[in-house]
Amino acid sequence: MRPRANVPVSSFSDTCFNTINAWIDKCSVSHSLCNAGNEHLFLPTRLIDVSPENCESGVRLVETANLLLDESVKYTALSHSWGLKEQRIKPIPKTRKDSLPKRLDHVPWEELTQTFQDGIMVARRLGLRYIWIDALCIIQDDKDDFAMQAKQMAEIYGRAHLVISAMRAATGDVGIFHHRPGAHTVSRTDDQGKVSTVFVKQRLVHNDFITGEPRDFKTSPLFARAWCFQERLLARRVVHFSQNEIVWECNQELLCECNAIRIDSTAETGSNFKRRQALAMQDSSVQVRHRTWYDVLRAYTARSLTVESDRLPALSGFAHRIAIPEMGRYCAGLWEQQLPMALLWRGLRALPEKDGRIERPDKYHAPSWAWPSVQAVIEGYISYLKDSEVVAQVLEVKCQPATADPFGELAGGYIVLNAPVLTAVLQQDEVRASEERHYLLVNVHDEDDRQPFLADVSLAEGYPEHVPLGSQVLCLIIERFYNYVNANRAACLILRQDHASDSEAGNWYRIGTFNCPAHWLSKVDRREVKIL
Amino acid sequence: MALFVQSIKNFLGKAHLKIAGVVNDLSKSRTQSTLCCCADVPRHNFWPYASLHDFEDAAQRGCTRCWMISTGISKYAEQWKGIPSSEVRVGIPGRNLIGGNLSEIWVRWLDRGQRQVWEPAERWIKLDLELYYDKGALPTTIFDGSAH
Repeated sequence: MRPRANVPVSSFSDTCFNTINAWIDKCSVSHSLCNAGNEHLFLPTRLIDVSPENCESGVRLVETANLLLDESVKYTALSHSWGLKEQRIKPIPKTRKDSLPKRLDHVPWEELTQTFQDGIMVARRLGLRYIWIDALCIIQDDKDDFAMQAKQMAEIYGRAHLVISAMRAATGDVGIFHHRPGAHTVSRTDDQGKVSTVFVKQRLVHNDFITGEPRDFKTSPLFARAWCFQERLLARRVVHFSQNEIVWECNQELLCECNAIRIDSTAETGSNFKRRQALAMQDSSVQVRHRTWYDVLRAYTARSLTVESDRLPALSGFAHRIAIPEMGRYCAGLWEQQLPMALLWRGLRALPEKDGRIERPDKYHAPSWAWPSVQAVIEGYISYLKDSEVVAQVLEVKCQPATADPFGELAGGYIVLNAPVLTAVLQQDEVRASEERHYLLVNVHDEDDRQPFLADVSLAEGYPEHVPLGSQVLCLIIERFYNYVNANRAACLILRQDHASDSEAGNWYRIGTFNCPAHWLSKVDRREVKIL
Repeated sequence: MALFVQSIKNFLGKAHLKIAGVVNDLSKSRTQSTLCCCADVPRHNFWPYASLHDFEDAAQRGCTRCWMISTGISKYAEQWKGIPSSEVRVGIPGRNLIGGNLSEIWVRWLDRGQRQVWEPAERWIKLDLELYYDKGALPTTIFDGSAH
C-alpha cells in the first residue's frame, strides 16, 4: 500500500497555499525551462491592483505605464471561462471606454464574480500584488485595444509569475475554491491495543492533464475552452484548481496534491503535454516547430469557442511564439514554408457540441483551403515518406488580416497554385449512404472506376456546401508517392468551382482531400488554379 | 478403423475425466483454501473474481486485511444499495503474484442489480477506490504482510 498526502477538504486551506508556495519556490529557483527570459521586463498594458492603498474594499485597475519595471512588480493572470450568457447568474464585470476612468479609481468588490473574487484572494494569499483578468484589463468595446491585447497574449500569460486556472468553473459564478470530497478513515485496534488507520477515497483521475486532447471535459470545463487552452500553453507555471485537488503544471513538472500523477502517467516523459511543447520551443529546427504546431493544433481544435470568429485569434499568441523566420509567413493557420503540403490537412471528427457533424462556420473566417474554414478536430499534414515528390507549386498566397494582429482574424485570402489537375465526377457512395461526407469519385474516362472520397463537410442538398451528384470536380495533385506503401498514389485536393463567379477562370473552393490512384494520373494537365 | 475410433474414444474419455478432476481440485482449492481473498491473487485478479461478500466472509473469519478492505469499500455502500454483496465484484489490480500493494481497489456491480448473463451489453457500474496511509505516518502493519 502506498503512502499518500491527504488532500485537505478545503482548497482555501493554509496547507493548500503552503503547497502552492513550495511549488512556486522550487520552480522559480531550479527550473531552467520555466525561467527562460526575464519575467519582470514585461508588463501588460493594464493590471488589477489587489491591495490598493486608500481603497478599503474592492480593487483598482492600474495603467502599467505608470509603474516602475522592477523585480517587485510580479503579476498573476487568471485563466477562466466566461460561459454562455444564459448560464451566468451574475454578469461579468467589463471595462469599457466609458467605464475606464471609474475602474482606474475603484472596482467595487460586490461587482466582481465569484471566480474573480477568488482569483484576487489567491493573488493576495500568495503575496502577489497584481492580477491580470481579461474582462477588466482589456477595453471590451475597443476593437483596436482588443486586437493589441490579443497580440500580446503570448507575453501576458507567458511572463506572468503564475497563472491561476479556475478549472472547474464553467461560469464566473462557480468560483475557484470549494470543498473537495474527503477520504474515509478506517481504523482498527488489535489485541495489544495498537491502532491501525488507513484512508479510503475514490481514485482521482489525472488523464486530463496528461494527454493534449482529453475526451471528457465534464469535471474540467475550462479545459474545453480554446482560449484557456492557449493560456495554459503559454504560461510558464499554472496552478489548476480542479474538482478534486490542486494540480501544478509548469514547463518542467506536473504535480498534484495527492502525489498520484506521476504514478498514473509517465509525467517525466513525452506524455506531459505542456513539457513536450516547452521542450520543442527550445529547438529552432523548422521540422520540430511544424510537428509541434500540428500537435498543438489537434488539441486546440478539439476545444470550443463562444465566438466562432475567435478560432484564429485564440491561437494567435501561440502562433506568435512558435514563429521563426524560417517558417515563412503565417497564412490562415498554415505556415508558408510548408505550403503546398500543408493544404492536405483533414478534419478528423466533429466538435463534441456539434452532434457529430462537421460544418463550416456560419460566417467567413478563413479561405476554404485553410483549416479554420471547418469546425472540426484537425490533423495537420507532414510528409514523412522519402520517395515522394511535391508536384504543386505555390505561385501566390495572400491573406488579409481583419485586425492589426497578423495572426488573428481574417477578412479574406486566396492561394494560386500551378499543379497537375484532372477531372472526376462526384457520386453517391451507396454502401455508406447513411454516413455524411462519404462519397465516390468516378474516373471520367471509365465510369466503372470509382474511388472513395471523404469530403470536408456534407455536400448533400440542403447544406450550404451543396454540390449536386454528377457534378465535375477538380483533383489538384499536391504530392506523388513512389514508395511501396502508397503504391504510386497521389495526395490531392478536391475542388469545386463557384459557378456564380463572374471571373473568367472562375474561383475554386476546397471540398476535401483525396488519395488518387496511380492509373488516374496518366491523363493530367498542368494549370494555374486560384483557390478561395 | 473401428479399433482406431474406440481408442480415440477411450483417450478422450480419459482426458475428460482428467480435466474434470483438475477442475474439481481447483474448485476445492478455491473453497477449502487457507488463503483468504486479500492474499489469493487469482481470486481478485482474474475471472470470475472475488465478491464483496467473500471479503466480508474472510474478515469475519479473522483476516484483518480483508476487514480493512471490506470496511473501506462499505463506506461507499450507498451506491449499490439493495444489491447483495455477493453480486458486487471486487478486484485488486495492483497486486501481482510476486507482491505489489493493495492501494488500488475496484468495485463493480451491474446496473439495477441484474444477474450477469455474459453479454457485451451488460452495463457494469464502476467505482475505483484507493487505500492509503498518511504520508507522514509509518506504514500500518496490517498491509505489510504480517496480517497472515
